[in-house]
Amino acid sequence: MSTRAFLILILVLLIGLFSFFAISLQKDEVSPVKNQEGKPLILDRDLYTIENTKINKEFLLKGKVLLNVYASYCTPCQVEHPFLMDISSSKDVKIIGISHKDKISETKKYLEKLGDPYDFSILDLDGNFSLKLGVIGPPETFLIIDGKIVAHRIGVIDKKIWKEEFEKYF
Amino acid sequence: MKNLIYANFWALLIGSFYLSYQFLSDNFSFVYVWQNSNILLPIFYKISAFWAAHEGSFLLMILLLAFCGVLNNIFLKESRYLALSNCVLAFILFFYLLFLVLTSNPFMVFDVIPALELDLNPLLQDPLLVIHPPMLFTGYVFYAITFSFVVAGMFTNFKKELFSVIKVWAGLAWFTLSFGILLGSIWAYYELGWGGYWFWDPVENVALMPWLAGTAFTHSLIFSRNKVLLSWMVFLGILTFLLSILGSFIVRSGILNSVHTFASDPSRGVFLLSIFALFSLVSLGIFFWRSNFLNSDWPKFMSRNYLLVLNNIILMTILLIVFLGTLYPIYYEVIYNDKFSVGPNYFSQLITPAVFALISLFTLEQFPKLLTVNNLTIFLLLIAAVLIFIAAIPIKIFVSFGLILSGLFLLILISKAILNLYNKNKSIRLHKTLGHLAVAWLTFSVLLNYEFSKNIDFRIKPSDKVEFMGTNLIFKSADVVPSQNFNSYVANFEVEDDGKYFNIIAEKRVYKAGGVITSETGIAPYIIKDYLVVLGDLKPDGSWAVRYSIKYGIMMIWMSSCLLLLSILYGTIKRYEH
Repeated sequence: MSTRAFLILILVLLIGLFSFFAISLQKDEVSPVKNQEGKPLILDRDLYTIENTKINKEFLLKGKVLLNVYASYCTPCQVEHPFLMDISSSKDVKIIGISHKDKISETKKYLEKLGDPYDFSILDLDGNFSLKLGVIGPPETFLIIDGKIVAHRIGVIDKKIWKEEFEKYF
Repeated sequence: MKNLIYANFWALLIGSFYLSYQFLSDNFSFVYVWQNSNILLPIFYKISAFWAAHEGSFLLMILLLAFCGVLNNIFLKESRYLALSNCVLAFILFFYLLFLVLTSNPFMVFDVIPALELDLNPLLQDPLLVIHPPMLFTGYVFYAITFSFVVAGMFTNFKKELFSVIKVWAGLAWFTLSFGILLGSIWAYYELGWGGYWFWDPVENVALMPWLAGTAFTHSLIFSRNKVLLSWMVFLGILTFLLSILGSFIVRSGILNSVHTFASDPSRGVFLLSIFALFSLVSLGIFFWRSNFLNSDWPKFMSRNYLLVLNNIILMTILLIVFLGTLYPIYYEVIYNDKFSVGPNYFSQLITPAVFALISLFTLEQFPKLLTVNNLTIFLLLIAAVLIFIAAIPIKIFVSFGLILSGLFLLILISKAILNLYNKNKSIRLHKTLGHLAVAWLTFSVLLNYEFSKNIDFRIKPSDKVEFMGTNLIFKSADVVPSQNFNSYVANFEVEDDGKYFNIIAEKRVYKAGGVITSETGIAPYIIKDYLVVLGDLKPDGSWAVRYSIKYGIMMIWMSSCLLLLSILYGTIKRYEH
């Protein structure tokens, strides 16, 4: 009798375990990190481009701005690069890069090799600007409309993601 | 059946050599070679790239499994249990191979060869990491073999020779798995440079679970002498194997996010889950079907076997704690659709008392006279407990009760061992004494490390000095040293502790290709404490951000773990001789 009770108990536990695993496998990945959507863009320090010219803050706070965090050492950035080139030629949006903790010479080499989709690239040597934006690591893309972050993609951006999260603002 | 096992092994061996040959000849038309190798890779890493990712490592695991089957058939006399074990092995091999061929074929070929070549992560190009994963799954493979014999035993009534076979395989499995876990721990400490050796990361836990079950299993084999609680031993043998499959499922399906996850593919997950479900249902089904064959008696109260039962109960408790802590995030995500992590505090706070119970058990076991329960012994034990507690109060200001207690147990065990050696006591088993001593020592070192290790973050300019925990850290110089594939910033530090001086070199490497920055922690290891220096960023004013830590007991953790490994190995060899 006790053997049978034990058997049933173990069976129930096992089946419970399997079904939880099975459901968990079907689920989409829940993003473990906080998305910055809905937050304002804060510019409390002077920003410079990689050409060492000072950036007019108004330019970033007015209209549609696509901020893309990239770096020459980041392989996924190379993957999304052609897509950004495509966007810069086909969409009416200011595309601005943030060179994340990268040497200026390396960044320039990178843009020379793959093409430059950006209106300009913000120099972020120590990663401080990215940190305030809530960046975890390149690549990340922010869509900012009139100083407010409306869409934030952590990871590579491509056609599918664009359609799902960014297209509706255009 | 025997010939089939041989044929399977030779076929797998030829296949593996073929894949290895593709690595050595840089044939990048193979997807797996392209993903895991590079023309510039040294030959050593080209060979090890074979098991650098999911597909190859699974192939290697299957090859090992078939090889163990061959070993069985060479060294064991022909018997009914060997035939049955071969059947079980064939069953496992069949499903593993099906999984390999259908979802993770390492022999896939490109239609068009892509131009770009990837490279092994620089962190992974490390000799320790090359042997750590295969060591772990060799342990899993050995437990699959013990499983096959345990299943065979259920149909043949556990003969004496079968028990000795199981004991040898279980000992080997226990040794290899422990060794694999230790290697991973050492790698994490020296290579990752976070100053820790165990992070309660899900993938670590998943390797720890079969280890815990295996520990209980090996101990329960002692029952075999008088066939006490046979069905419990069988259950543990099955459980250990199932937990090792659960481990592969969790690591390889990507169900948990972790630093270790290296193959996320839902179809693989579903397949592995089905294998896990099939194996567990079939094996537990057989277990319940045959369990009336395994008439079991309970051991006498407070006999040695009774202590063993207690040991198994405690080990199962620890297993349950680890199991819940590891899998709870999965349940939570399914139910609440949100992320949840279980921190190291959960594990350490729940497991510490259980470990103490375990240590008290085997310390008590050293004194058989205390086990004959009468009023006097209970009275003596109570008095001892009260005395220890009172004596601990003044010392407790400096160190925690746990540290005092583990130190005390360690002292008792050492003096008892020396006493036994002095009296030339024939009845003691060296591997048991040393193994238990090692566990007490390990616990002591872990607590020492937990309690006294400290670190400090600061900015420092060359030739400045920082005082911390009674030591002086002097920043002597920082130079840029160009190397073939990276530029490295080398910082020389000098530590002055109690009149002794020694140098620590911390390094920061900026790789020319890819621009990856890695930090090489400077470590000065000593028996009591380690001194660690991590070099951070160079600030505009010429100062460096530096983290300086003093870690206690790390060396002792490695030493006690090695002692434990040696005693497990010695015990296994002894059993083989029997």
